[in-house]
Amino acid sequence: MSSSLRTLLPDIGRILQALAGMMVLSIVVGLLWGELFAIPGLLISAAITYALGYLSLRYGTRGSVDKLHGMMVAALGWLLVAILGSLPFLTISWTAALAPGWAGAFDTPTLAAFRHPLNGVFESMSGFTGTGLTMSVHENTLPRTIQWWRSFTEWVGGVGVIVLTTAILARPGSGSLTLYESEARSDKIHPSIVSTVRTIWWIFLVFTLVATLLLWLVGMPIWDAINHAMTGLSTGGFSVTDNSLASYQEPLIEFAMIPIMIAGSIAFPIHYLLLSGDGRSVARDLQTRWVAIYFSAGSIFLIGLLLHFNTYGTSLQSLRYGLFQFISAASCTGFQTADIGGQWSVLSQLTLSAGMFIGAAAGSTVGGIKLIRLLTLAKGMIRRISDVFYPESAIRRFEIDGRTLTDTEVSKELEEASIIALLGIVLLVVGITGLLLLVSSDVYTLENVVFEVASAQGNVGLSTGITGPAMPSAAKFLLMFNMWVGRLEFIPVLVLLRALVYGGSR
Amino acid sequence: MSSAIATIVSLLTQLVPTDLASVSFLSWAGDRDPIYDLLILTGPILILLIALLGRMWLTTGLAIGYLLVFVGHLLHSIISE
Repeated sequence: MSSSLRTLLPDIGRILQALAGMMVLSIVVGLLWGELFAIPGLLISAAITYALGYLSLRYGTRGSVDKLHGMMVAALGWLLVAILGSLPFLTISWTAALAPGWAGAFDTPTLAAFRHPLNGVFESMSGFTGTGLTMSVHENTLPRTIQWWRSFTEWVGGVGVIVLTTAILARPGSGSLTLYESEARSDKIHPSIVSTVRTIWWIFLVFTLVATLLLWLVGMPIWDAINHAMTGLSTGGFSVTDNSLASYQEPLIEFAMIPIMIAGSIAFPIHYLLLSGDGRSVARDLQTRWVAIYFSAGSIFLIGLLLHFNTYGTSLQSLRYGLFQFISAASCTGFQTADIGGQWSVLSQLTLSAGMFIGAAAGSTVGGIKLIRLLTLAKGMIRRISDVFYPESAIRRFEIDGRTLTDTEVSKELEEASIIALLGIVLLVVGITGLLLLVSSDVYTLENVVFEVASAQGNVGLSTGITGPAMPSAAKFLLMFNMWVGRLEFIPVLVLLRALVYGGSR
Repeated sequence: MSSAIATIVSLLTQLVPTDLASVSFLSWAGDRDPIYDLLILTGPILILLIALLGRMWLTTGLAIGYLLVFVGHLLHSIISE
């Protein structure tokens, strides 16, 4: 084993141990619901994951935690979490198949789909990356333990598996910060990174409890409310019902979900300021203001399109579906209440695709390239154009998000935003091309394919119907890759792939 | 009011066995706002109560009260700041 790979093992080992802990915790759900057939599967999954974690810690060697190390740990860690996180799907579905008398009515075709390992890995990758595209046809027929595991993966994945690991198994020294940053996070709430991630969990728990009770009050059964609060706040979008939130046919539930999805789209440091009563700083925050503007403008535009194309009979219906679907897409949640693929116009679908590609605030639970990068690029472009009108000796300030940047910082910020945006576009085009080759063009149109890939890469989960257990295996791999790169903001995965090809040499 | 609740939360975290998930979570998370700490402590109990009793005037009233405390405290902190 190469020495550079061995230095990754201790951090990977801790991530796997945290994952094993999640599986052990889920046994409580199986016990509470009397689904005893699910418990051996969870125990086996936890034992395998823990053993691999233990071996990684045992045979790994500690090395310096630089940017390369952090990115490789993030990329490899998330891939392994997705693979091993599929074990509960695999083991529980096989238990139900091998002991039908024990599993009772749960041995359904929907659960049986998870006997194919790839479907479980797809579901797990979709869950941890907070995407929400699913291999489940009838979610309501799944055992409660599996429903919980799906929601739990999204809840943890929304905040981040490294954030989870740092919070409970803090790495000694300064390594935690590098790892934290490699998981597409940068803002700190406290000077200490461990304290920051613990506060993030504290905020997340407060909001999850509040969201659960809000959803229950507007009419959701309590089990559904718990799961949808977890997947809504983490902007994941898995549901425990057959047709996502459309199953309830209840506008009140949809309107109650909107503030939950918006909360998931706002950066955790801003939530901390808000909970601390610092409303002024929240109002001054550039990203938060732009999230508000972007959500409002996008919703109005989409409602206008639905009205223009007469998609629904009444303007109230257009308001209901347009508002909900734009916020669901732009917040990268993916709850679906409308038949987007079948009923909506091309322009409406492409508007949602753009919303999914952009995403909302950096430092929140959303996917996409993030609004702040789009703003940086827009300001950078304006600056470059207006530069021509000033003498070369002129000293001009570049301000973004309340910070005045030096020329070097401006170049760095613009470079980062350009690279992420370009990689986003390139990988989107690669995904679209691949999916076009893999799915039938008689059934799915170009806009359907664009929508599906944008949904996977933006970690959204809205679907035009392409994703499902019957999808070709190559298409599943392709969308999983898009989810993986999208969640980690492209660079860590490309760094890992480069390291695999060139052996980690600089 | 806030300090009284902080004392109650602090007493609870000392008196209640730390194997109770929400209590051990609070001591793990460190010192935060006592009202939100109280919501973290009582939230799971309320959800359990709802799961056991179902939708009735008592559980509905408690859930409304819970949300009012959250919104009220949030607004109060923003205004007083």
